[in-house]
Amino acid sequence: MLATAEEAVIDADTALEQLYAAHYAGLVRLAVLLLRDQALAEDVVQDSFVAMHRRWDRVDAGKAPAYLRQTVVNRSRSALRHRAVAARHRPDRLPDGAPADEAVLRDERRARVLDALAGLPTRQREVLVLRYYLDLPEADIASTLGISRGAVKTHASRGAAALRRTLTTEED
Amino acid sequence: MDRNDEHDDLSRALHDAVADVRPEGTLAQIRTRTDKVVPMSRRWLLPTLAAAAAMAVVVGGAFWLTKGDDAKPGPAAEGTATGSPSPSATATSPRAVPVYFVGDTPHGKKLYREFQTQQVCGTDDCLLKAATVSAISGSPTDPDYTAPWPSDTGLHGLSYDGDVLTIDLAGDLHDRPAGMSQADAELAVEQLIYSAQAGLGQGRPPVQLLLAGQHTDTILGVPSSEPLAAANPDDVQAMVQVDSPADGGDVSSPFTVTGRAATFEANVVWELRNGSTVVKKGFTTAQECCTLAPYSFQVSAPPGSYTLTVHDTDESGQGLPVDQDTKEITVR
Repeated sequence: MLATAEEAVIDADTALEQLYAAHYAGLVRLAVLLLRDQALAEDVVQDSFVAMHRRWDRVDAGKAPAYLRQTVVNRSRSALRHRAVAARHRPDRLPDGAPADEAVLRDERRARVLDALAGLPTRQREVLVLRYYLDLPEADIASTLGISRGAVKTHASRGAAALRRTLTTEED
Repeated sequence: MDRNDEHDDLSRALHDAVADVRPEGTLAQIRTRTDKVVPMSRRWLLPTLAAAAAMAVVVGGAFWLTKGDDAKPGPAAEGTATGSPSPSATATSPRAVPVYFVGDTPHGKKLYREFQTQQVCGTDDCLLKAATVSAISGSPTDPDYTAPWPSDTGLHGLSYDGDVLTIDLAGDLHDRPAGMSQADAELAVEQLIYSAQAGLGQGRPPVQLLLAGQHTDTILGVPSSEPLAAANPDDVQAMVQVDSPADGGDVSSPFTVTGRAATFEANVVWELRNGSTVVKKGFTTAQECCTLAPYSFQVSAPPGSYTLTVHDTDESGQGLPVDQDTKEITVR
């Protein structure tokens, strides 16, 4: 019962520093897959770190990465709801200079995947990203999203089929 | 293409899609936001944790499974007691029990949180039980709020396995009672989920509702066969809430008002009235804009009875009703 005492005494600032170094970049990429917007993704991830710091006395240090991940997924979902309004005020990011041909193709390929993800229902997108990007087992996906394992299976198979269909159609 | 290839092609596509993302944020940016005042929620927790010092190191889902073990004093208890055992689970002390109730807002009925001071035993599961029982059969301290559950609702059992919080209810709860709208029924379920999660203090685990020990397809007519996730707070909670002081509370001047608000540009406005006379007024900002975030401010006033109103601003300029919370308080 007291085995976790050592973890619990890591103070919030130290934890923030360690978790930032280990997880910030990965979480931003996760949020980009969910939001298709890097600026918004960074906002969401920073908010999540601030929220974790604020609640550090209630977070199990061993589970902090999972806690952060869940916060990022939940806040991304809220951010999407609010984005319809925010989009009117937030200019799109401009590309950095004129890229070479190969880079254009690569960027198109990446944009196509992000567009296809963005076109899916929210739950399907979340399940696909947790499964194929984070490689989370089914049980962890279920607890992260607060849904049953059966629902994870359904969303995963429908989402994967839809994503593949879109990607193949657009390649033709 | 076999199964692994199928996994790999989507996995590769997703990894590739964000391979060029170069995060630009810095730790310093986050630091500037965590260096602010000690947030309201932690101030609330301090007395609670002090009352159960040995519990402070119990994290994760372990406590429920080990509640039958002899609690040993943790490091925090050393030096404060000379070999005495930790507080027994049966001894009660006044603790702040988080519980949500229903109140009217310009956007329909929403949830408001109260911290009710109750005599509660010293362990984490005592707080979970107190919050859950208060949610289904307790009364709000603030007369502006109402309790949403039918009067014969009872609690059969409670358990938390580290993943799912299970609440076993008793009563005639399968169908939505006459006179309760679908929205009211859904809000009642959210009220129970939020209260139990707050009492548990382990984030927002999914909640499985049972009826008389059995899985049930509905509770109050709301689908409940699977564990339910809490709805987004910004969708179901009132946009301006006062946590402290409580309605009917006695305070000494100056006193600190704490709460949470999601208001226009994070602006939080308040007035202290004696009858219809505004005695004091002011404004502050919540820690974040556009989502429920903590705020706090100080008020000094001569002894007397007051109505404290904390509210959003009407940016339309058309005199529309604004989100607010009011508390009747006495300054001693």
